[in-house]
Amino acid sequence: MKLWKFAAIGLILCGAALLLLVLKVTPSSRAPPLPSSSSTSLTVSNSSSSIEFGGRQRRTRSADGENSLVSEFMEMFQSFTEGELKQVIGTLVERKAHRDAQLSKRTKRAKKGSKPCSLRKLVVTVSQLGIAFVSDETIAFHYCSGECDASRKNYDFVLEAMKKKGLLRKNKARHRPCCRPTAYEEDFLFLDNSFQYKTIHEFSAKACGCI
Amino acid sequence: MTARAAPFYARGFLSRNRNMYIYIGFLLFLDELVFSMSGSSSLSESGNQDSMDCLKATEKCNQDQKCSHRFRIMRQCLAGKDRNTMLANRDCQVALEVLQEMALFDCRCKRGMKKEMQCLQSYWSINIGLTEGEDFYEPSPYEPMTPHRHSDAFRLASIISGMHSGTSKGQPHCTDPSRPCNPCLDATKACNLNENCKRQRSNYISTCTRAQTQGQQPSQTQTQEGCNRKRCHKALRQFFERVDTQYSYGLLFCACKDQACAERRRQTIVPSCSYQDKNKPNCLQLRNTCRLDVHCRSRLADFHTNCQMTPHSISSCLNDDYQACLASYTRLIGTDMTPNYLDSGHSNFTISPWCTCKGSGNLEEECEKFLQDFRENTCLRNAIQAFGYGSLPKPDPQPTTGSVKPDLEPTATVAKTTMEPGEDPCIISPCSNLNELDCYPSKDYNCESAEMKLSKPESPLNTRVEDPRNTSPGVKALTEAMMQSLLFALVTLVM
Repeated sequence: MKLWKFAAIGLILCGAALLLLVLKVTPSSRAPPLPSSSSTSLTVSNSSSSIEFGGRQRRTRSADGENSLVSEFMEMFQSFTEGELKQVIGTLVERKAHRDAQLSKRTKRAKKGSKPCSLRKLVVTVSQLGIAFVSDETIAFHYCSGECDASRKNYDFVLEAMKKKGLLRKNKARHRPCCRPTAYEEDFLFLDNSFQYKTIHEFSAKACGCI
Repeated sequence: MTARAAPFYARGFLSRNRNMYIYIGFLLFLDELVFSMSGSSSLSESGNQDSMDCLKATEKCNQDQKCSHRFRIMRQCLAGKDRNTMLANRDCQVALEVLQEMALFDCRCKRGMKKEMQCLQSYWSINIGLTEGEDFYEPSPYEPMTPHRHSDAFRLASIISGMHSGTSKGQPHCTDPSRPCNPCLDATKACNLNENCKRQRSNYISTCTRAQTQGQQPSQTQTQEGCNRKRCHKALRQFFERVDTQYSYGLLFCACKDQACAERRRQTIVPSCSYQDKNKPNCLQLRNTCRLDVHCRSRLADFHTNCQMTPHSISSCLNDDYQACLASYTRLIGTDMTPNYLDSGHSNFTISPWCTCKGSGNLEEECEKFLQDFRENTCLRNAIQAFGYGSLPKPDPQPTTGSVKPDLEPTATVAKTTMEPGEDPCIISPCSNLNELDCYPSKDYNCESAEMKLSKPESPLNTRVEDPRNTSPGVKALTEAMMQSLLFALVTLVM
C-alpha cells in the first residue's frame, strides 16, 4: 500500500511538471507570428489607427490563449477532484468507522468480561415477569450476572482436558461454572388486577454464586 | 389456706359465721399473693422513669405501706359481687378518698412502650370500677399525642400520592398520563420497592390468605375460607407498628377517583379474613366483646378520644389534629373492632366496623350513636381526605426547565465569477487584418455583415472559433496523456 501511495504521489508531481512545461512552450510558439504582423503593418504605412489596432491585437491574442489553456486544465482538475475525492473520502471514512467499531467491540467485550458474578436489580411490573400473572404492581426483580472464570476449580480443568483428549463419550458436561442464584427471596404476595391476592414463589434471587 | 384461716379462727371469732371468715381469709390471701408477685417483678426490673407511667405509679404505691394498704382494700371492695353495697361501706369510701389524692389515678401509658400490656392492665384495674355502670365513652389510657409529627406525615403523603396541589380541592395528576390516576396502586408500588414494607406486607397477606391446615377449628375463630383470624389480626398489627407511616398510611388513606382504586383500597387489610365474618354481630355486643380485651378496649377508647367530632374547629377534629385521628384509626385495625371501607364507592366512602344495630331492643338509639361515630365521623373523613390529597403541607416549587436552543444556521455564500469577452473594436480589427492577409472575399463579407447585425452574441462565437486554431494537435496529445496519468493515480489512491 505504501509503495502504491508513493507511486501515486510521484505521478501527480509528474502531471504538475507536464502542466508547467505546456504553459512555457505555448508563448514561444506564438512569438514568431506576432512580429511578422507588426512588420507588415509598418511596411504598409497605414494611419495611426492601424497602429493602435495592432497593439491591441497582440495583447488580446496572448491573453486569450493563456486564459483558454488555464481554464481547460482547471476544469479538468475540478471535475476529477470533485468526483474522485468524494469516493476517496468516503472510502477513508468507511475504513475509519470500521476500525472504530472493531475497537469498540473489543472494549465492550473487555468491560463485560471484567465484571464478576454479582446480584443485579431490575424494577418491573408483575405482568412483565411473563409467568401468567396480571398485575400493575411493581417489584424489584433481582438476578445474577457476571463472569465466573476466576472461580474455576481443578474439576473444570480436568474435565476440559478429558474433553480434549476424547476420553468422554458424550461431551455434554460443562467445564466452567455458571453465575446463578444460590438463595431466593421470600414469597411475594400481591393483589392482581382482578382483586385476588396471589403468591409468587422463588422468583427473585437473594444471593448469587458460581456453581 | 387452711393454715391462714386457722389464726383468724383462733383469735376468737367464734360467735360469727365460719363461712364468712373463710371467705374473707381467702380473699386476703389472694391479695397478698398477687401483690407480692407483682412487687417482686417490679422491683427486679426497672421500668420507665416517667412518673405518669401506670407501671411506675403502681410500683410506687406498692412501696408505700399506706397506699398499698388502701389499694388492697379498694380491690377487695371492688371484687365483691354486690359492688354498690361494698362501695357504700365506710372503709371503702375512706380508701377511695385517700387513693384519689395520689398520682395513681393520673397515670397514662405510652403507645408502643416496652411493657404496654402490663401498663394497660394496671390502668384498667385502677379505673375499671370507679364509675357507676359502663360509660358510652371511656377516657383514653394513652398519653396525648405530640403535634410535632403533624407536618411530617402529610409532607410525605404528597410525595407518595404524587400530588403537588396546594388546595384541598386540587386535582391529582399522575406521572403516567396514559393510564387513569390510581394513588392506591402508586402507594403499593412504593411499598413493594421498600424492603421492610414489602416483607411485612407479604407476611400479613400470607397469614390472612392462608387456609387453616392444622386441626384447631373448634378452638379458633374461623371464617368461610378457613383462615386464622387471630393470627391475621396479629400480623396486621405488626405491619402497622413496624412499617413507616408514609407507606402504611399511603395504602390505607389514598385518595381514589375510580372504582378500581377504591376496591384496591378496600382490599388492603384482606377483609375476607380480618374484617368480614359469617354473621354480623350487634354493635353493642361487639363493643362488649372488645372491652373484654385490654388491647381492644384501650384502642377503642383512644379512637373515640382522638377522632371525637367537635363543631368548634374547622376540621371537626379536636385541636385540629388530623394525625392523632389517623393514628388512632390505624391502631384499631387488627382488633375485634377492626374498621374498613364498606364498599368500592370512591365518591363518598363509608367506614364501619363489621356490625349492625339489628336486635338492639331498647338500646337501639345507643347503638346507632355508636355506629355513627364510624360511618358519619366528619373528623375522620376530613382527616382521610386531607391525607389523600396532601393538602396540609406546603406545595414544593416545581423547577422550570426551559429548552430553548440557539439557532445557528450556516449561510452558504456562493461566489460566481463570470468572464466577459474582450471589447468589440478589438474583435473588428483581427477581421480586417485577416482580410488583408488571406484572400477569402466571401468569408470577409460574411464576417463584416454578421458583426454589423448582431454585435453582442457574435463575440463568444468569435472566441470559440479562435481556440481550436490556436491549440495544436501536439497539445491535445499531451492533455490526453495527463488525463490518463491522473486517472491512474486516483485509482491507486482509491485502491
